This record gives sequence, C-alpha cells and structure tokens, in this order.
Amino acid sequence: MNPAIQTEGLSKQFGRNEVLRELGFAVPQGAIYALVGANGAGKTTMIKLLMNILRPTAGSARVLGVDSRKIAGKAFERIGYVSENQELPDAMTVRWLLDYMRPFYPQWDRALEQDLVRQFDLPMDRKLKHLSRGMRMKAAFASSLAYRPELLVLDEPFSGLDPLVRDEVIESLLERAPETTIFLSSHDLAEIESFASHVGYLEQGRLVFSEEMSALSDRFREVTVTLPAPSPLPERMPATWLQPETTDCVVRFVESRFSEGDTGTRLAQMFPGARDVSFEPMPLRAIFLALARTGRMERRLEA
Amino acid sequence: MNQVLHIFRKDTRRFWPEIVVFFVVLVLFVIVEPNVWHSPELVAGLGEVGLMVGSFLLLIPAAWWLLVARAVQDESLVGDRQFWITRPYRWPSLLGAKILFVLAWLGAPYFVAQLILLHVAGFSAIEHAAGAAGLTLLLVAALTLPALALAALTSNLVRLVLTALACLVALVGLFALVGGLRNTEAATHFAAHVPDQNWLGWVILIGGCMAILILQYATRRAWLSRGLLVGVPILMFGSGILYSSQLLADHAYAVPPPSAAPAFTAESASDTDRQVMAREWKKHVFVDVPVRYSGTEESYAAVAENMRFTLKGADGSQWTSPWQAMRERLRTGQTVSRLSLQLTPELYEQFKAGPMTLHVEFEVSQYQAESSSTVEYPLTDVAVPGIGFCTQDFTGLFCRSAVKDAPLAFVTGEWRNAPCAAPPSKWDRTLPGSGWLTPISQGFQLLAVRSNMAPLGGRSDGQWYMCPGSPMSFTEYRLVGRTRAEMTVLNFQIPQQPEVMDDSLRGRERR
Repeated sequence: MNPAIQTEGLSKQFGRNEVLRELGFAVPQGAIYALVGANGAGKTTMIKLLMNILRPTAGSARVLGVDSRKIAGKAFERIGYVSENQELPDAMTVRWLLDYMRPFYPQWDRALEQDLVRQFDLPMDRKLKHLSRGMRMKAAFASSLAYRPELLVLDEPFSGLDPLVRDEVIESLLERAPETTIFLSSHDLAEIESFASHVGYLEQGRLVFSEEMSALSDRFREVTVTLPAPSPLPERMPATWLQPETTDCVVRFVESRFSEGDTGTRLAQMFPGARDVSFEPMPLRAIFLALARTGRMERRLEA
Repeated sequence: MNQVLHIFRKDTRRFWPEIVVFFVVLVLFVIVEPNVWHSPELVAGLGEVGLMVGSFLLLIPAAWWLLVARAVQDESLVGDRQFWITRPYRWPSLLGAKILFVLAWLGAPYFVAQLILLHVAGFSAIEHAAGAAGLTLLLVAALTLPALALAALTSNLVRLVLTALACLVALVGLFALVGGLRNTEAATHFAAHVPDQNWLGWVILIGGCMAILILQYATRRAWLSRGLLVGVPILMFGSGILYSSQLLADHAYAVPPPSAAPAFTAESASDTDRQVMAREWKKHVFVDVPVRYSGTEESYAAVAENMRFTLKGADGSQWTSPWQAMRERLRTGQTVSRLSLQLTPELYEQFKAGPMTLHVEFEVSQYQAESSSTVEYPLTDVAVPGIGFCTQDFTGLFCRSAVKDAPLAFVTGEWRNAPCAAPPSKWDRTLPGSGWLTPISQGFQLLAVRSNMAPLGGRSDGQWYMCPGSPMSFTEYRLVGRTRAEMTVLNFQIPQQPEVMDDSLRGRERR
C-alpha cells in the first residue's frame, strides 16, 4: 500500500535561512502521524510544503500519490486542512460556510455534516467572526471532515483550545481514524500520546526520528543506576544515553536505544559495581523534553 | 457544480450592500446627467448641478474600484493563511467568477444606464446598443482590469490604493523627469503630440493587467506578479516616449513634397491693432503672436494639431521648442488668431534683446467636406443628421451625439439685432454667425451621450439674437490625410517686459 505522504530530501530555504533540511519520511495510510518539535522547528513550513502553500527549495513530497507541487483544485477534494492560523471567511455564518463548501465536494456527507454540527454544538446562524476561537476551530473541523477526506492535515489544531473542546475534537478525529489518514503538528504531547500511532520529531529543521509510537516508547527508557558509593560520571558514555546526571550514589539518564540485553551489557561495562538498575518507560512528553534539552545543549557546545 | 456561478452567487450575497450603493450612485447619475446636456457650464463641472454630476463621474469609477477590490480580496491571492487555498477551487473558475461579477454588477448596470441616457437624450437605444456595449467593455477593460490586477496583488483596500498611487506617482514622475530634462513641462510636451491615441499604451496596460491576473490566479507567486506590475508603468512610459518621438511624428505627419499645395499658408498678422504680446504665467512666459491663416482649398478644412517653433537670434543662438498641442481649425478664406509660444523665463531673457527669426512648423490634419445639412435654429431640440440633437445656447449651439464625439463640423447661423419676439422692422439687421462644433470632454469619456458645443461668432457690439426658425447649416468633414505646414517670420521681436499673470511671479519680481 502506498504511503499517504512520502517525502525525499525535502528542503526549504527562506533566503539564506534553511528552515527544513532534507526531510525523508513516510506516513502510512490510516496512520495518525504527529509531527512534534519546539517552536521554530519547521513544523508549519513542513505542512505548508505538503499542501503546496509553499514550494520546496529541494527534494520532493508526494501526498496521496500526487506531487505536492501539483496539489491544487480537485486534489483538495480528498484532503482536509485545518490550521490554528487559518483565516476563515469571517463574514459568513456557520450555516453559510457549510452551505458554501458543500458543492465543492462531490462526496460531501450531509448526514455526517449534521452529526458534526450536533457533536460540536455549532451555532449555525452566528457569523464566524463572532465565534470564540474554539468554536471557529470546530467550524473549520466540521467543514473539513464532512466530506470524509482521505487525508486530514492539521497544523497545531489544539492550540489555545480548552480541554472540553479539545476532547470533542479528538473524539471526532478518532471516529474518522479508520478511513482517514491524519497528519498533525502539535505541542500538546500529552494529547497526542493518547491517540497518535506514529510520531516524527523535528529539531531545527532536521527530522530526528520518525517512527511508530509503540517503537518509540519501546526504545526510550529512563535508567536509574544505584552505585555503592558516590562516583563521577564515566568519561565516555554511549551517545544514545541522553541527559546523564548523578546525585550521591545514583546515576540517571535516558536511553534512546533501549534493548534489555544490549543496554544491560553496556551498563555492566560502565558501572561494574552497580547495586541496582531500573528501567522506567517514558511518556512522550518526557522523551520530547529529553531530546529537546539534549539538542539545545549540543548546539550550545557547538557554539 | 459550476464553480464560477457558485462563487459568483457567494460574492453577490456577500457584497450586496456595496452593489446597492453602486446602483444608487448610478441611478442618481442617470437622473442628474440630462440636466447638463443644455449647459456647457454644467458639463465643465461648474455650479451645484455641475459639481454634483462631476462628483458622480468620479464616484462611479471609485465605486467600481471598491467593488472589484472587495470581491477579489475576499479570496485574497496574497498570503498563505487564507482558507480557500486548501479547498478545491480551480483558479480559472475563481478568476471567471470575479470577471462575471464585474460584468454582471458593474458592466451590465452601466450599460443599461447608458441605454437609458441615450433614450432620454432622444437617440434610439437599440440602434446604439452595440456602440454602448463596446464603450462599456472598453471602460470595464480600462478601469476595472487595473483594479482587478492591483487587488490580486494586495491583501486589503488600503494597500490597493497605496499601490495604485505608487504606480501613478512613478508614471507621472518618469514623465516629469523627462519633461524636466527637456526643459519643458511634461504635460505640455506629451499632451497631444501624436495624431492617434496612444493605443500601444492601452494595449500594454490591458495586456499587462491580464498577464498579472492570470499569473497571480494560476500561481499565486506574488513577487513574480509584482515584478510584472513594476514593468507595466515602465512600458507605458516607454510607449509614451515612443509616441512622442520625432520619428513617429515624422511618419504620421510627413513633410509634403515641394510641388504639393500647402494645407494652408500662415503669416504674421502683427500690425498696430494686433501686436505681439508676452505674459508670464506659472513660471513660463507665453509670447502670443498674431497669425493670419489662409489658402485652405474650397471644400477642405485643415486642423493644425501641434506646432513647434525655432528662434534664431542675430548672434547665431538658436532654440527649438518641443512639440506643443494646439487645435486651430481652418477653412477656406482667412482666419486670424494668436499663436502662443511657450518659453522658460531664461529663454525669454536670452531672446528678448534683439530681432530674430521665428520659424514655426505645424502638424496638420486635412479634412474634406463630406455632407452638409440645413436645419432651422431650434427652440428646444432639433435633429441634425450625422451629429445628433442640438439645442440653443446663448453662445450658439449645444449638441449631443451618441456613443462618440460629433465629427468635425462647421456650423453657420444668423444673428439678428432685435429680440426674436419683436416684429420685423426696417431697423432689423442680420449678421452671419459661424463656428466649429467642438466636443466637450467629460470625465474619462465615460458616457454614451457626448456633449459638443458650437459657439457662433460673428456678432459685433450690442445685443444680438439667434432666433428659432432661422436657417442653420452644418458641414461635416472627414479626415483625408496628415501633413506639415510652416511659417517663417523675419525680424521677429518680442516685448521687453512680459505681463505678470500670477502672484508667485509678482513675489519673485519684488525680490
């Protein structure tokens, strides 16, 4: 099965500023792919390249089998796009927006539209400019879900939404999940963890990893080593051990290539007299923070 | 679904208040406009009604631009956050919808308004429908295409207005720069130097705007389109320079072979009654030279469109002016009028000292009488074949023509020295009155009903009347060719002190 999204060497420069560097990843059909990264990492630029809002400087991307540079017009009948920064037609009421959008999509599902309106509790006769941020996002979602797009691209969809609205939106997304590939960028790691199947981590325009959520969870562990006596950190620790720190007799770090056998062997070599070793699974937020802090530290050292 | 119609319906629903405002302006204009058909002062924008009509003439294009900007920028082509760019819009449909909007809510109502005005003016609306449609399309192209292009390159109305102003300033600045370099006023130099309109300029404007529109709708690459936008005024400027070039003028107004009969003869008519005069106005000195024109063949007319002059001083100094617009119309017989030579104060100072040789070249359009008709001087309106309808005016005649200006026509009438209501008496005297029918330019030639006036001269002192029922004749001319004519005045002397016409120069004199 062809991936819903596939990029090869995708790069984007604004003047001399290289925002994205040779990104290569694939989003399988049916996946819920979360693109995470700090502010300025290039997530929104990445999405704009996929949607042909921007053109790549180098490399290519295929979205639903179509070269991203050719995505326009009819191609958007299969793609839904919602962004926190999107400028909606403010003068329209919700009803007008839905009525207006409906004829653009041959596969528009009127029953689903009504379900979404009910589910999101949308005020049909209010103008979009008079709606709260949450309501506007829900209106945007309703108008992007009602035609059952094959691919839903969301740029920071939960940003600024209250927990109730966020839950409603996620619930609605999960209902679509079997039939729709979802590609989203977000800071809301806790929420993403609850429903994303794949995750990609973008740092300073580089893709640090892109993999299934379960594989990511499996390979990250918080390791705690208890030593018989206080001891400094070994000089040459493996590069996959992130953020090592020591307090009295305890050494802590994040293992980013965890494998019970290999990690155990390396621990035995580094800390031969260790009294106790524990491996704790990590939430996505902790993984993200560990990666972000390590990256920041490396950049400082390089500088 | 037809996207064009779907988007058009949305725009109509979205902008109905603006459409209603435009309709109100148009309806008021249709109501007020017929008042000016009987008054040259009103056509010139004088008086309350004239000002009102003048305002409407400005409001109509302003309303067009506003509507166009609102409609185009509702699906803004600049930026990357608009919701519509990730929806299944097809760009030809979107562009088609905007053009349909312009045609339906600007072009069509304007066309209907013109038909109504033609009907009210006494013309057959059906007969002139094609002409009015052509005029409307031309106006839509000339007025709304630039607005469409600018709206496609800007995100809001303020930026559109600023960009339009920048383009205008750039264009005027370029012409002023070249005018300054040539030591003359740009407006004078470029005003009417070529025989035909600068069609190349129009082609560049309309073609450039269409290219910007298509490029922007197809690619939304604003910087590329803005590059084109910068190119349009530069190319228009180039076309202006081309049209004012001597090469083109020489081609259009060829110097006749020596054996050919001149279109007219011109000579100095300076004598004790008519002297050469000089006046300062707006930092220029105008030397008015009495000139006698004669020699135009029977049943022909000549129009001296432009002229340039050369001053040759006794010390060998010489200066040739750029071409300047004039519009002296001549028939068989003699005509005496004044030729205005424009000089800078420095040139005036240079040449005023001594006698010199004045050489004047004229660019001349030659006309031949085509038809003539005789009608009675009207009490209200009279139909004049080939021209339209004419009505009396205290200076002579005021005529309206349909869709285009009246052709070159010479009008003769009869002045009477007694009021028209007075019974005939032995003291009655009549004088022939005559004059040329002249189009009165209105706005940007926005209207299908054109106004023309024919001030009839020939009166001597006292009260003279043009009475209804007296005979009038109209001789229409058609263009048959273009040529050159010239005049040389030896021992030409200009006054030592010009008459000062404005305050700024008086101030300068005091200093």
